[in-house]
Amino acid sequence: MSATVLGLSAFYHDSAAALVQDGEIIAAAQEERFSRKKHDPRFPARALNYCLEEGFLDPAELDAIVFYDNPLLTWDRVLKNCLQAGESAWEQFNQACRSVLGIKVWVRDYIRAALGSLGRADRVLFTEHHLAHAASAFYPSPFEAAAILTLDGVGEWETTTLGLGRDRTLELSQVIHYPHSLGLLYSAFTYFCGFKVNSGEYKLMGLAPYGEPRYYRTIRDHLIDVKPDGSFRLNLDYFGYLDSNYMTNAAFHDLFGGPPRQPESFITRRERDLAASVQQVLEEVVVLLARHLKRETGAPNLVMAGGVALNCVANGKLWREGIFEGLWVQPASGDAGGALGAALLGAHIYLDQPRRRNPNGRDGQKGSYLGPAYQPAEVIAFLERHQYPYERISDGEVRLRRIAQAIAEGKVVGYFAGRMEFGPRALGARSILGDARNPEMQSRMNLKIKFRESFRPFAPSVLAEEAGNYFDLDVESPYMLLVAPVREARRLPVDAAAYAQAEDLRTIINQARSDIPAVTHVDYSARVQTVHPADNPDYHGLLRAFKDLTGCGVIINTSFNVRGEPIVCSPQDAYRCFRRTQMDLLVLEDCLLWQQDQPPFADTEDWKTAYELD
Amino acid sequence: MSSTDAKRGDGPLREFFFRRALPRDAARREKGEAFFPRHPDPAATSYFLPRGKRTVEPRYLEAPECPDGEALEARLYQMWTAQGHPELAELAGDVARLAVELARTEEPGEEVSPFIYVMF
Repeated sequence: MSATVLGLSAFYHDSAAALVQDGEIIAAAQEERFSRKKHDPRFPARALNYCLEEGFLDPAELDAIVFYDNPLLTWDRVLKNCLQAGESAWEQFNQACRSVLGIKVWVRDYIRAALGSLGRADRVLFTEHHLAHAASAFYPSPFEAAAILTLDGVGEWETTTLGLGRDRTLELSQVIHYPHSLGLLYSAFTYFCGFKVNSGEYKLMGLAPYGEPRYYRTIRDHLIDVKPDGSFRLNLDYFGYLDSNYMTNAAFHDLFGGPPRQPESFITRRERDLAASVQQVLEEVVVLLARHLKRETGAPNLVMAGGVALNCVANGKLWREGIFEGLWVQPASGDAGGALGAALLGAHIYLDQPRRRNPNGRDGQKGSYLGPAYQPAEVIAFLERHQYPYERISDGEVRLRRIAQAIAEGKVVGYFAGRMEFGPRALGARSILGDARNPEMQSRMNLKIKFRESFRPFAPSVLAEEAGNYFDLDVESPYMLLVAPVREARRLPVDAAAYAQAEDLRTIINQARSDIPAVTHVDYSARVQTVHPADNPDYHGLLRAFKDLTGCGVIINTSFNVRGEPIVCSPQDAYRCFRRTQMDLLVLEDCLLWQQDQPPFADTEDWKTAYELD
Repeated sequence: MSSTDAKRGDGPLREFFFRRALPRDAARREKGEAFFPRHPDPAATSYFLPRGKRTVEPRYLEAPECPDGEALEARLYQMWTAQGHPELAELAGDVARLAVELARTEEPGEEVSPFIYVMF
C-alpha cells in the first residue's frame, strides 16, 4: 500500500519540512531558505508548501504527519530544570513556558491552520528528538544494519543515544541525559570564544588548528568526567545554562582567565588554544563512544546524526581510527534533519513501509539535493523581466568548459544549478566556486565575497575518482562531513617559527601550505567533498572540465551566501547576492551573467545590516 | 525581563512558579533529592542510562498528541504519576490552564538566542 508522510521540525532552531513517499525521500527543505531568516525557528509553512508541491499532493492526501519531538517530555525537562535551580531560574522559566506551553504543545493547531487538514488520519504523530536523529541517520544510509550514535545539545532529555538499526527496526539502548551534553559543552566554549551559539560551533572547529590544546587538562579535570566507555558527565558548577541566559558562569570565566571574548573583537591566543583544547576533548569522547558502540553491537558500520555529528574534524578522526568498516553521517544532522527523521519513522515504523535501499549501493539521501529546482524557462523569465544581460549556453559541455575556464582565470563564480541542498553545506547546487590553486583566493573570497572572518578555511570539491590523489582519504565524503589530510607530497614547507610566535592569525593564514593552498587549512587538513557522477552529474562534469583544462581535479566550494545570510534558494536570491559581492560570474542554470555587463543595481535594503552576523 | 515580556504580562506565570510549583517541590529539595545530578561521580563506572523504550512501537508516536487543555492535563498527570512524581501530577491542571492561556497570547519568535543553546 502506498503511503505518504510529512515530517516537521519547528519552534527550536532550523525548522524544516520533509516528505517521504513509499519509503523514498521526495523533498526536504529548511524554512530559512524561503523566509531568508537564518536558523528560522518558526513554523515552516513555506518549506511545508514546497514539499507538498514537489509531491503534487493535497494535504488531505497525507497518510501521516509527524512532528520531530515530544513537547510533553520537553516540558517535563523545563519544569524539573527550573524547580531544581530554584528561584534563580525564574527568567528562564518565564521564557520557556511561553515557548513550550504557549506554542510547542499546540503544534497540531499550527499544522491544521497551515494545511487546512491533518491528513487522512486527522491526527499528528510525535516522535522524540533523538529518535528522529537516529532515523535520519540510519534509514537513508547505504547499510542494511548499523550502529547508531546521536549527539547534540539536548532533545527532550536525551543528549546522547546509542543503538542499532537493522532493516526497518531501530533500537536505542543507552542514553545520556540533560544537563550532561557534549553539544552543550562545545557550545559553552563557542559562546566563551565570542561566537554565536548554535552557529558559531563551526567557526570554533575551524579555529582549533590555530591553537595548542593547553587547556585540555583543565577541561578534563574540572568540566567533564569521561569514563572508559565514553560516557561522560559535566560539572554544572561551571555552566550557566541551568538558571541563566548564558552558557557559562563566573566560575568558568575564572578557570580560563577572564570574561568571554567580545564578538567581532581580536581573536587572541587564548581563544585559539581553547578551541584546540575543547576540540581534542570532543574527539576523544567521540572515539571512545564509537569503540563502546562497536563492542556493544558488533555492527560493521556506524551512522551518526545530531548537531555534534557536523563536527567533520571529529568525524575524520573517528574514521581514521578504523573502528568501523563503514561510516555514514546524515548531512542535515542539526534539528532540520529531525523533520526527515520524523517522516522516515512515520513511514517505516507507523505505516510499516519497507525500507528502500538504493540498488546501486549508494545511499538514499539522493546527494541531499532535496530542495526546489528552477527550470531554465523560469530563470529566463526572471532575467528577461528585469532586463539583466545574460548569455544562454544550452550545450552542457560547452557551458561547463566556459565556467571551468573562468575559474581557471581566477574568477569567482556563483553557481546555481538543479535542486537546492538539504543541510547546512552547499554541495554544488547553490555554491560559490573558485580556483583552489590560487594562493590569494582564501583571503579574497573571505573578505570580498563572503564578508566573513579571514581565518575560516574553504572546502574543496574533488572528483570522487581522484580524491586519493589529493587527500589521504580512502572513503567517499559526498556531504563534506569528513576532514582529511592533504597528501604529504602536495604539501609545502611553512615558516614554523613565525607560526609559533604569531599572535595575529593573518600571519599564519597567508602562508601557502600546498599546491591547493586555498583549501589547505593551517594543519594541512581539508574538509573534503567528493563528487560522484551518480549524485550530481552536472557538478561532476564541471570538475572534469576543470581537470581537463588545468590538470587539477579540485576547486573551492563554499556556500552561496554572504555572512549571516541563509544560502540562496531562488534565482532572485542568487542574483541579489551576486550583485552585492565581488563575484565575477553568475551561473543560473544554463544562463551566464558577467558582473561587468550588469546594469547598476538598485539595492532595496542595507544588506550589511539586514543579516545579523552569525 | 524584557519589555516585551512585561507587555505580555507574567502574572499567571509568576504565580504558578513561585506560589504553586516551587512550594510543591519544597519537600523534594528539603530531602536533598535531585531530578538530575549536577556533578561527576568518581565511584561510577559508567554514566550511561538504559533507555526506557528501547524499540519504537507505533503507539508511542500517538501518545503525546494534545488536541485541547483537557487532553494535555490528562497526559501530564499520567506522565508524572508514572514517573513517581505525584507532587508534579497535582500541578497538571494548573499547567494545562496556563498552556491554554499562553496559546492565546504567544506568537512564535523569529530569533534564536545568540547566548544560549535554546533549550525549549
